[in-house]
Amino acid sequence: MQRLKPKSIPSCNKNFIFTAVKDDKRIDGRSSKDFRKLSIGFGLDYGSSVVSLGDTRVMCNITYQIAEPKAVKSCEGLLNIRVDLTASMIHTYEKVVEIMRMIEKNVKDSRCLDLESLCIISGEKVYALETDIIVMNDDGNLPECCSIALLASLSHFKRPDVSVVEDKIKIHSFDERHPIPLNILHYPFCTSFTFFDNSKFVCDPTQAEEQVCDGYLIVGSNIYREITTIHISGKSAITKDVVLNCCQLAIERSKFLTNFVKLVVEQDLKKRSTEGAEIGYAPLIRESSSVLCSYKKEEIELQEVQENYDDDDVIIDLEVAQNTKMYRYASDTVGIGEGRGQNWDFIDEFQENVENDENEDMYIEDEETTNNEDEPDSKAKQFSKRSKNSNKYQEITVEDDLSEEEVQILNPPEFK
Amino acid sequence: MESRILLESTSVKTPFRIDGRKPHEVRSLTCRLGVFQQADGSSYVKLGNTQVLATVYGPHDTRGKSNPEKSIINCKFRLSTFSKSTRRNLHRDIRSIEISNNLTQVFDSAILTELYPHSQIDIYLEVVQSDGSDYAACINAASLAIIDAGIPIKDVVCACSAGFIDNQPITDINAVEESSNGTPILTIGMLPKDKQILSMESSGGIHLDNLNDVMDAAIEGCKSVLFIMKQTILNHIQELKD
Amino acid sequence: MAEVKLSEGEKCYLIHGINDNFRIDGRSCWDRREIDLEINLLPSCVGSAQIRSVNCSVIAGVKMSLVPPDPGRPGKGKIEFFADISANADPLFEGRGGQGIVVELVSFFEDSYKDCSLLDCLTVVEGKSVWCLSIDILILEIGSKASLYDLCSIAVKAALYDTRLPKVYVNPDTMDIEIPDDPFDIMRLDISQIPVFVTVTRIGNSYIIDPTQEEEASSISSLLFSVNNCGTLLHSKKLGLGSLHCDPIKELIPKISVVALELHDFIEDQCKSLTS
Repeated sequence: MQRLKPKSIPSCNKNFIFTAVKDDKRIDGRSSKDFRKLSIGFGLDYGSSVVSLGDTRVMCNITYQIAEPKAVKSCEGLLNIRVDLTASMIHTYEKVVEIMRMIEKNVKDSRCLDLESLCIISGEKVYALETDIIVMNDDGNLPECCSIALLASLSHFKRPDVSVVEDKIKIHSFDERHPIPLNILHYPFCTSFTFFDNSKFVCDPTQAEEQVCDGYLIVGSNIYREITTIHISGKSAITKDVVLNCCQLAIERSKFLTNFVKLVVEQDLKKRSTEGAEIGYAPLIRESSSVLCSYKKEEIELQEVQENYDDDDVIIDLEVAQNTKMYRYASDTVGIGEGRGQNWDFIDEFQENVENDENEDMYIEDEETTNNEDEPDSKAKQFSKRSKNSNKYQEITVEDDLSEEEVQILNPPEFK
Repeated sequence: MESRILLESTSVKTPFRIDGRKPHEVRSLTCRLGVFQQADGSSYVKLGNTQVLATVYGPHDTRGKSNPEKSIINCKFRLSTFSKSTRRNLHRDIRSIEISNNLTQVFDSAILTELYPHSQIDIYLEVVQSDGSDYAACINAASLAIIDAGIPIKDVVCACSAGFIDNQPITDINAVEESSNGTPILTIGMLPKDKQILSMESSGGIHLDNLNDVMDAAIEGCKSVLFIMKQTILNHIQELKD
Repeated sequence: MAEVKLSEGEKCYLIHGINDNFRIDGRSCWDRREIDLEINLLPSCVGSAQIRSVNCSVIAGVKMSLVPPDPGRPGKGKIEFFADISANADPLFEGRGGQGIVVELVSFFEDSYKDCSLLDCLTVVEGKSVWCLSIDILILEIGSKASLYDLCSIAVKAALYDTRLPKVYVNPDTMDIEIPDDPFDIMRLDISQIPVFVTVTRIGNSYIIDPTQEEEASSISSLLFSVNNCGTLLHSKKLGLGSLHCDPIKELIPKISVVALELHDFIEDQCKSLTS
């Protein structure tokens, strides 16, 4: 199984992100402390959920088994967490381990799940929960998304009721007896902060920001103001005050997430109890603005945008620009001017045509204004022209029958 | 399940820990540089009962692709089979890989890698005996080994662990305290001069109000560790001169 | 254990010197370099030892467990071996790099210890439970491969000397096993029957022991013998790729017994002086 190579980021992209972060701005229009849109959907089975945080999408499934407990902890259930990153094949095994350990430390070591309630017969039989976290799309901030998915699934999951009669275990089906939800003591959510240039940080980074950043800090916290896990990595040198500041922000975020997750789970459980309600992933796929459809990025406001240019840019005279001819050589290739004539001895047919059609040039329109090619007439004419002069380059000409209003001849853009 | 008294208060106000230390006392630390002749740099660190051997090979040619801007750091951590009381026979288990990753990140930022493009520096750590604070001991050992190898580094990277038991922050956790349920543990690896944190790993829940005290305990521990490490380095250089 | 590359001239110099019983570091063919032995260094193991030679360092640790015996050998205990070369020795041994050397080492150990009389002392309840000693060998530094075997065997023998097994009390009626809590109620093992390994390397016209890396690079082949304290050769193995004549080997055998007995005495003396 070959891994794709991670795309290298051009340094101009990197510089752009760095400069933008200094001004508290990001590529998708958020400020440094804004989070992307979060939506959670549940499947038919209890404990199956899909979470999307912007374009990052993670699915979590929980299944159970009856197994023997560990020798050391004989009256506690088992919780196995697995993270599957094969869908986004650019990650190395080290990254997978990092995320897996992060989630494990956050959920297992903080003891957010009451494992003793999963015991059936102490020392012999307990419930073993298998959680599979599958990353469907990675657009940054995987630890946060995975932890939300895991906790949403855990709060949604219900296990069958058991009764123990003389050493025999009877597992009741969901119809016989109501299934029992898990006992979650607190909800520890991870929050990621990425650092640029030591002191500036952003919350909820996208994939591009993560690849470019100097270092990152992942904090796991819950609403009781407990910090369950901290992980600092990368090149940035962080001081104690920055860490404490980020922990505060993480706690705020956890409060929001805890309420959100509880609300969403409640809504889904209510839906299940009403007759005829649509549950599961199928209705979500049909909905256009749901968790399983692509994320529509918000429009970026361009009013404040200033055009900047380096002094090294060549400034073209307005007259020169207006008098330069532009030629379309193919559907996606345009030439400005034509260069000098050839010194080779063969006769170029194109050269002859150009000399003959001097007065029939047309400037190329800007992309924002009307696209003439949408009109069926002009398209047909272009195609017919192409077939006639198939060996020659297509020069952009204005047909005599078209009125001036349909074709817009634009002045070239103004350069300062 | 046994209940362990990890912190015992005597009639005198200071509580004592299970191994008799006071809360902010670091275990006895001995370090030695240059323990292996064949490696470019090596060190041995004994923090209480935790014994760690570190070796550094490099900078040398890369085995695969090389980076034209800086040196590649390759760090591998291993717990030997007899290091803990139960025999382990795992070659690549998840915790070892996690610690290897973290160590690679720490030394990637601490070593001046831009000075050695197209090369690789290998750091190998072997925990011969594990009695708590493995990660902190490894950072200290690797730091000394790099200095023994003569590779330029921004500062002597030092590390220490800290925890929180019975409303008391404690420095330098041992294995008994680590394995008891619910003890939050925090390990900090830092560059001491600028007080910059290169690595921080924590597990178990620490309340935000106590987090400041626990971090302070770890940073104080780092200072004590740094003092001994610097003395060892100076003694070693003195011996080399003679 | 970086592969040493020698030129033909250097090899020639070395071989001629050995033919005159004069090695490049001044030793004679049957001289061994100094060995440093330390026992009882790992608190988590019931027995442990560390051997340090000039450029070779090995740690051996012994752990115990109670297991049911092999059905075919109900009255004998078990000894398991596990060896590993740490990446500290060379970057080549990172991960599973050292498996080639390690597999050979472990299989020779298992062959030599298969019929050891030590196994009889490890029975607790015949047919039901016996002690299983798991011996872990950690190789931290390697010089020449030939001397590695010798040193590993010394480390294992010393670690077994250091092993403290708790005395087990068997209730004769119920056959229940009780292990006392007293840490000083222990039994020690009798290591006199445990074999040591002697490796002889053929260079030029002579055999030498404890070769350096340069000497090994100019050698033809090596022979590995497992010898017990009566001087009896128990097992043998050929290492390396060259071919050897039979007659010199026959002359060799009495010398090997002498060397082995010296090693046995050395280990006993060292261990006794360290424990006293």
